[in-house]
This record gives sequence, C-alpha cells and structure tokens, in this order.
Amino acid sequence: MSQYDNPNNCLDGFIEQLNKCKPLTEMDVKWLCEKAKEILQDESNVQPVRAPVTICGDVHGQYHDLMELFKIGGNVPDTNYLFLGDYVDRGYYSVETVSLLLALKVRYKDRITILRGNHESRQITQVYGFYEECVRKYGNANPWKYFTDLFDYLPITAVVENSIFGLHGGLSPDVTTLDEIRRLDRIQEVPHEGPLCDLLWSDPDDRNGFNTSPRGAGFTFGTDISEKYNHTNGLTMIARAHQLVMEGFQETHDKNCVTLFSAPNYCYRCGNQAAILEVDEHMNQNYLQFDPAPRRGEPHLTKKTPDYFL
Amino acid sequence: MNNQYDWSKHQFQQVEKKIITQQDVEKFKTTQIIGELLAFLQQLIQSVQNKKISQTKHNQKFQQIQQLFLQLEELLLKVPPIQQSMRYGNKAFRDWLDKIGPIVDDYLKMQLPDNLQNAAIELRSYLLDSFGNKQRIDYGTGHEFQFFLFLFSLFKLGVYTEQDYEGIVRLAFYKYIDFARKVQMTYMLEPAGSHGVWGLDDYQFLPFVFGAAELNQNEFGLLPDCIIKENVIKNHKEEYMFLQCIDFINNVKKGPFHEHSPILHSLTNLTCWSKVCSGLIKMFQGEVLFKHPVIKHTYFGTIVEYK
Repeated sequence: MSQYDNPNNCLDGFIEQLNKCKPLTEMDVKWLCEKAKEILQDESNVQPVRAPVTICGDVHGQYHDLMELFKIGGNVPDTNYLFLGDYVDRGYYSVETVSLLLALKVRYKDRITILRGNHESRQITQVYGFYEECVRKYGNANPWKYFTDLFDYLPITAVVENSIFGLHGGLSPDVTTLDEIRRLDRIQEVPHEGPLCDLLWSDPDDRNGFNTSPRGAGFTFGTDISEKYNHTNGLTMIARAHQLVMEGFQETHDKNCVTLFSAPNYCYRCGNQAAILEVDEHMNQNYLQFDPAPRRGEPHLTKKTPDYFL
Repeated sequence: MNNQYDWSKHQFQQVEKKIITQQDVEKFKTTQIIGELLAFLQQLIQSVQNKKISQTKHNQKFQQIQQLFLQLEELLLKVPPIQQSMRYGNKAFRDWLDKIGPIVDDYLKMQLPDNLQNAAIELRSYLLDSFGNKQRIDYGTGHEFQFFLFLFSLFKLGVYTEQDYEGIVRLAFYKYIDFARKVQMTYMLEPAGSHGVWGLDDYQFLPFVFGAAELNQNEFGLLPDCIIKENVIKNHKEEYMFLQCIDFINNVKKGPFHEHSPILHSLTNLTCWSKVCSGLIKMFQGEVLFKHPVIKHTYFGTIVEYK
C-alpha cells in the first residue's frame, strides 16, 4: 500500500505541499510525470479548450508571482486556465512552479491546459537554470530527466471554442492550417528548425511576411500573416507569449495577435507588469494586470557558491 | 603571430556567423582562435592585478577610441527615447543604431593605419554589434563579447601591442562599459537571454573578471564580502570596476541584493579575490564562450577565424 494507490488524495497532498513552496520528493516527481504523461499523450497538438478560461503567459520559475496570479484569477478548479509555456528557467522556483502546474493538471485535467514553451526543452534548461536548480534541490539530475522527458508530451497549441488560437511563440511558414499542426509528431525534443520549432520560437513583427528571426530560431511574422492565418482557420485571435511586455499584455496586428507575459518585474529589473486574459463563456475578453507579490523573507535556495569557484 | 604576419597584404572578408549546431560549439573549444582569445584575456587580467583605476598609465594610443565614445554619446542626446506605447525597449534605439554607421566608419579610418584600412570591413561588424540587437532592442553578454573581439582584432593586427594591455582594459574596454550602461538605460534595453538568478549578471561579464583582478591583495584589505557593504562601495567604487558594477546593479534592481543577485552574493563566501577571478574565468568559459545560445551569434572572419 503506497500513497500512490489513492491518486486523488495523493495529488491533493502534493498540491497542499506545493502551495507552501515545498518541492516534492524525487519519487513523487517520477510518479507525477508518469501520470501526466498518461494524460498528455491523449491530448492533441491542437488541444480544444472550452470557455470560460483564463489564458496566461511566461512564468519562468517566479513561484510567488504564480501564487499572485491564482489570487487574481482564481484557484484551479474554480477557474479554468490555459498556460502558454515557459514555466521554468531564470527564476528561483522552477521546480515548485512546474510541479504545481503538473499536479493541478493531473488532478483536474479538464480545468487546466498546459502548453509547451521553448524553455520546456533539454537543451535550453541546461543553459538557463532549471537543470542547475534540479541538481541543487535533489542532489542529482533524475528529476530534471523526468521533467524534460515529460515536456515532450506537452501539447504545442490550443484552440478556445474554435476561436482563440493559443501557443507559445508564433506562426510558421510551414503551417497554414490547424490540420497541418495536428499531423505533426510532437513527441521529441524541440528541434532547431521546422514547424515544431517555429511555433515555439516565432515573434510577431511590424514588417509583413515571414522574416529571419534575430533569436536565431523561428521567424518573425507580419500582420498580413496573422490575418490570413486567422481567416483561413476561422479564428478571431492568436494568443501567444514568449516576449517581455511592459504592460503585461500587448495587442498587435490589428488585434489579430496578443502577447501575454505573466512574470512581473522580470529579472528584478524590468519593472513590467504581468497580465492574464480572462475569456468568459460568451467569449468576452478582459485583461487583468498585476505586480509582483510582496516578498517575505529569504528564498529557500542555499547561498551555495557555484562549482566554478571551488 | 601578430607581429610577424604582414596584415597589409591580407585579404579581409565580410564576417559571418559560423556556429550553428551544438557540435559547432564543441569544435569551437578546440580551435586555435579560442587559445589565442584566452591567452589575450589572461594578459589583460595580469595587466590590472592589484591596481586602482587612478593608477592607469596615460596612453596616447587610446585617444581615438575615447573620442568615438564621446561622439556616440553626443548622438544619444540627439536621439532621445520616444514617448510611445511599445512592447518594452524603446524604438528610438533603432534610429540611434542607424546613425552610428558613419561615426564608426570615420573612427576606423582614423584608428587603422593606412596600410590596414581594408580591415575595417571586419572590424565594423564587431563594433556595430556591440551595443545590442536592433530588432529585439536588447543587450547581453554576447554583445559585450563582440566588443571584446573588436579589441582582440586591433591587438592581432598590431594596432595595439603588449605595451597596451592595461590601456585596452581601462582606456578602451571600461569606456565601452560606461557607455554601454548609458545605452541600456536610455533605451531600456531588454536583458538578452538572461540566466536570471542563475547567471552572474543580466548584461555584463568581463568587467567582473577584470574587476576581481584589480582588487587582488588591494591596499585597503577589502575582501570579497565587501561587496555587500554599502559604505565600501560608496567610498571605493571610483577606483575599482567590480564595485562600480555592483553599484550599478543595486541602482537598477529592486529588492535585497542576496535575492536579485544570488551568484554575486555567494562570492562573499570566498576568502580572496584571486579565487573570485579564477572562478569567473572558468564561469566565463562555461556560461558565455561555450554556451550555444550566446556564441551562435558571434561573427567570424579572417582575423577572428573559426579554425
């Protein structure tokens, strides 16, 4: 008899623990990722989502600000959520952040949809902090491996009531219709190029057409591209994240596209607000902005000098 | 190599990005150029060991580059930030970048000897990419590294020599850092590819390396734990780059230092500056030189050869 034999109770325990910013054990992470995989593997590359739903942008391990987001937007399962990726890297608490979102997903799978961002990747997390954080908190890389293997299963895009298209990055020159996305094999590490890469890396731009991206991955796309894509697929708007926005959200391309960013005062320097987009059952839209949660006391992270200095 | 080879007969070329895949990064580790760059860096570090900034020797050779930064700064005043709703960074940065081309070209004409004028085609690319990305309106350690490559190129061409190491650091590189901060603040440049709390700093790396060397066995008995002492920074920042960097961060970031800059804060555990410096050199290689998302943007030509 183990706690895993009563999954809902177990998950409720995880959620309670994570709500106190306490990481799960390595075994718990393994189990959670296995359960999440079972659910996510049945989800579509274009995952259908019902309204009402609240759409959120990048979080980047800013756990306390995620708590603030839930205060402002309402807790799962009272509020439905669609997260657009980038849960990890840069912040202190990528482990707790992604664990909580996965626990909520497994517990309330129809109430929360979590998409893949460009940071949900083995290569990127080894550069921007998540790998480092896992090794520090667990003493080994196993949890990082469980998480990053699981990331392969996260859906790439979502559609809210056949109307709002949600994804992390942006459009791809290789993709014109939603069906083309459905036909992709997403169960792999984020590639360096191609549609699976572009959807997670592209950015909207002032210039028309597709152009080379200064990021060195994905493309930039213009108003003409957004308009045509929405028209072709019967959509009203593209909701994406991936870029820092001073006001937390920015509508572009004649409102064919909106960028959401849910990590306030990014890097402790940017002074930006965060925002989430509430879509009610009639598809009315309302942006909620918020500032960083007040910080109380010191982060749990030990003041360990990096190995470079030893 | 630099003094024997006749660069006046050399065929210079348009620079390109050469690092595409992770394998290319691995290859980069084994190139001749990386050996040269690290050796150059070591010489620069040695040249400022235990030296206050006011002890910098005057050096005529750096007049032109200092003039360049004065002109670029004048241009900053002529292209102020625009009041307009935008995503984050100020779009006036793009206008400023559009205008620096002629200033940079004139500077290179003066800086390079007559028989090396053709080298401008490679050098200008490094310089123009030293202040941030035009499209994303951001700045990061990769841009700082492009400027480092620019200085390296001048050294390799023989424009600067072994006598000029200290000048390269203080009269050129530090002037660049001062100026880069002004650009960052004027146009609110986004931190490009920041590692957040897992990185040393959002924007800079090398000033910390040189800065640690400066403080090595300093006359004030300042140890690494001094960086969290406000009065120490206030009293000594004029003389020590490391403290200027900490001061700048404290002015811009919100919250306690240990929270927004934990890696820098963790350096206070170290007992001497030489440990800080040697650790930073290793970290520079691990986190900047050999990290794909940074180094893939680097330009290579015939002076900085990918070989």
